[in-house]
Amino acid sequence: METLPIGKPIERIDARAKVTGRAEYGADIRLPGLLYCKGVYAAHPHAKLLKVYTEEAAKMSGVVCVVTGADIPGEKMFGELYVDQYALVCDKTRFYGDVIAVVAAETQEQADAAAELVHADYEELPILATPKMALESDIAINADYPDNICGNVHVRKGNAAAGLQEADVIVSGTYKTGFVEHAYIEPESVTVIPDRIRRELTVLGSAQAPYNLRLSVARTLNIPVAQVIVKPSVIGGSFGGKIESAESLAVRAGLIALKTGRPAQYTLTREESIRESYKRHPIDFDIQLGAKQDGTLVAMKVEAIGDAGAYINMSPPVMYKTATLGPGPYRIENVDYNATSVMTNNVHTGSMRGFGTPQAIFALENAMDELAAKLNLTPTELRRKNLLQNGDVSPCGHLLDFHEVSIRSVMEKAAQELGFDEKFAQYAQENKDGRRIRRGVGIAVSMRGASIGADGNGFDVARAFIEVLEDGSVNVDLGLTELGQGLRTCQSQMVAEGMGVSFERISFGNTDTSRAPATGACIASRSTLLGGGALKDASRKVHAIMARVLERKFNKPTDDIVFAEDRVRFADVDISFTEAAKICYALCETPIAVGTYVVPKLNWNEHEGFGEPFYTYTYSCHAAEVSVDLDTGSVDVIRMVGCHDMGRAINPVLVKGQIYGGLAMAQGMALTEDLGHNAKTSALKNLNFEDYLIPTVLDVPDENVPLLDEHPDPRSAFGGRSLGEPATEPGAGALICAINHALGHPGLIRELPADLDRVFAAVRAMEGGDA
Amino acid sequence: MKNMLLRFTLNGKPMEGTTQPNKRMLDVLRGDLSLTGTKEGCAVGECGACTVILNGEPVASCLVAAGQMQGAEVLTIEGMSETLIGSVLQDCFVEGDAVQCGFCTPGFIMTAYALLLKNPHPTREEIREAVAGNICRCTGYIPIVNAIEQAGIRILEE
Repeated sequence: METLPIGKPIERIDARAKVTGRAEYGADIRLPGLLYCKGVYAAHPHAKLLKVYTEEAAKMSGVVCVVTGADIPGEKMFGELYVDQYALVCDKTRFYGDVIAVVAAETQEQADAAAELVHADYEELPILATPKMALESDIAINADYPDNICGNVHVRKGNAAAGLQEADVIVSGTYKTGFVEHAYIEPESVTVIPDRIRRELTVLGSAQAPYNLRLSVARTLNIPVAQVIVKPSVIGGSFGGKIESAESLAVRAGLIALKTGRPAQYTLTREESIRESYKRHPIDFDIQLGAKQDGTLVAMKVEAIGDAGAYINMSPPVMYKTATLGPGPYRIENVDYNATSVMTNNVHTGSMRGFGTPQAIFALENAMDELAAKLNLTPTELRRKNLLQNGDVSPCGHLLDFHEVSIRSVMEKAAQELGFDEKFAQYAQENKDGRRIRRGVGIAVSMRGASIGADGNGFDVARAFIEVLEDGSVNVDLGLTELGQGLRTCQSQMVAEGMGVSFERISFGNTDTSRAPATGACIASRSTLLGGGALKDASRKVHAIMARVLERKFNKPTDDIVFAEDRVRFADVDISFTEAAKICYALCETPIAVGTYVVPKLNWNEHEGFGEPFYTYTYSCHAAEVSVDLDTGSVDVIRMVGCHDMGRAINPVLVKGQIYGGLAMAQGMALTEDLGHNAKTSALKNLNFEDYLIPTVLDVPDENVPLLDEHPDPRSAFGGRSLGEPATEPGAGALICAINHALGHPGLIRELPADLDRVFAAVRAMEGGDA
Repeated sequence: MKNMLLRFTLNGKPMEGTTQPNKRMLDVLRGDLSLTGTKEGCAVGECGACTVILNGEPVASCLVAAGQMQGAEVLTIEGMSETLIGSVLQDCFVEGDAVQCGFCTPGFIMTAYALLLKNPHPTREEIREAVAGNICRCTGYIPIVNAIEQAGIRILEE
């Protein structure tokens, strides 16, 4: 008997094209008559834009057109949840990544040269380069948000103030994180092709969220949504980053395509990509954590201020995840977690793998280690006392009685693999002998809500199209995008199981908004749960159509019909799936269906900040071992272990790939990645990989280990939950816990990244400045 | 600048064409020749996505001028399937899940090709040193090192 396709390490369906160079990414597109675009950036991060001078540029050789915000025919602004973003500046500049004009020319070189001739008159406004400045200023970056606050989520359970008074031991202090760049290796590239007959645009390129993109293009360029067709190319990494960042390029290139009647390609250089794309939110945490003498957590109070930058993007939902998932996977009666996003003239911030939680977990887990030290407990001892288990109520008030709450076994597996408990004791002891290179271990845990959660209560939906063809092959059109995570392969495995056919029958169409029904985007660790649900529903509907046809054909009841292993069986009939498909077409029936899955309504009280914030959760633990050179401040990561319960691993090899990558990304955030933000001018200094240091193969330990702790989730159609974000979520926290352990002072390093300078300064401070 | 007549060998076949001597090799490949398997990730030689083989050495083609291609032997990802080392590397990258988004993949395969050409059975440390100039944001590198190590073993067997 053939085994089911789920759980098998099926080869990634796009890998062969990627290793041969045949895979076509956005910037690889070549078309007759293609125009090349170049944007002109704002010279001031906050200024009224008085006049833009494009005449000189327009006269240059090869230039076909130059556009400004005035040329946008529809609404001037776009955005996902909040429509506040200018693809081309109209009224005033808000940050250094704003674009005031775009030049289109026959060659990229001609566009680049002409763009340098565009200039503008500005009336400068004060630059609000930190949330503190923005909160204190009477100048609003966006008039709709006069206090510059664009998002606030306040989780409350019990009484945190009273709880802290009852605590025997309290730790309190601040933790801070910085801007983090997605650093997908492919810079954004979008190509827009105008239709020759009607006002229709086809958009190709690096678009993570194609249905959102078509809304933005339709809105700004005055085209019916049906006449914006988005077909993402092979996407060279995204991590949440190619949503609004791709949309602004599509609006600009679309405008040029409409004006010229020619296809237009807009590819960012690395410097442009870092300059204009949104980042991970820097968040300042003011945290108070109280426990009883035996280590039982009693209260947590956190004030978190996130820097939203110049545009809102996903800031409010990011704050939702900071506030609802920031309290961690702990049993704790009294919680007050208040997360606020503040607009500034900094680079905007938005969706990035983890979405407000890697920062929060870094803060909480280091505070937990401070608490453990005060209680004379080890980090694992303190966590063992407080981790959630089956039937517990989450920090937000969610009764966890619907799946295996596995965080305890997840942590134990990770701790055991690293030898955490032994090493924690051993290094604490050996570090007392005065050595200058010290080792340390750290551990961090998290629970990740799947998908959007109650922040999108009632509209968290996915749709999928399944069509059985006359030869028994199965066509699938699903609008969730392949970003490199292996989605097409995993979703094909789920269709094969859902349809009861072999993997080889599944033909998974390239994402195309004109073929696949609108679906929520491939974001928020939602695609396995939501896509799986929609595919299961579509499978059921197709099966129902086929059953009806077969009942007619054979004149026998199909109540007991089973589709499995490429066979269709009912009554005494046992035919191949291919035969069943042929019968459908012979009788002029249509075995086609659109499946829909909506996350059930969650019992969440938005005003009280209490209830069920998510439908289900993934449990994670990262453990890290480091060595720290006290004389230089340099940190070597010796080993990281990532253990995750993602329900059922649809494809275990791809799951492990997510974990390997997530550990490395966490390492960059923890140790080296710094955009060089200037807190006076708001400018970013580190705009390319020579200064913005993501981990190389020599930085990432060859000994890193991914572990799975599978407990299929009854709330997921195929038992699986997504792992994209959990895979990186606790890593930075674990690394800083490890450094602080090596330094013998939990909570010593309190700000990310813990780069050479910061660790060296911390060591000097620790040693009384006489090092 | 005056155009020059450029003659070189590309993936084993003689090529000839006019180009500007100061044009980037990357643009000759991706632009003039439409060989888009070689990727541009940073344009400053830091990411390795544009790595090709020039006279047996891996180079960042964003930092090489077209003039330096004169008379040279050039290998790109498009020619890898035709070589033993390249095709084994491709198989091992696919089988070992060394590919996620794939944008860095051609560069890694070219660097690995140059390594295996000189050192058919490298240690993991030698592999890591060889690919230190190629960055990847998806895989955490271990599957890539595994794939190159596996390719070395398989080539010795063949």
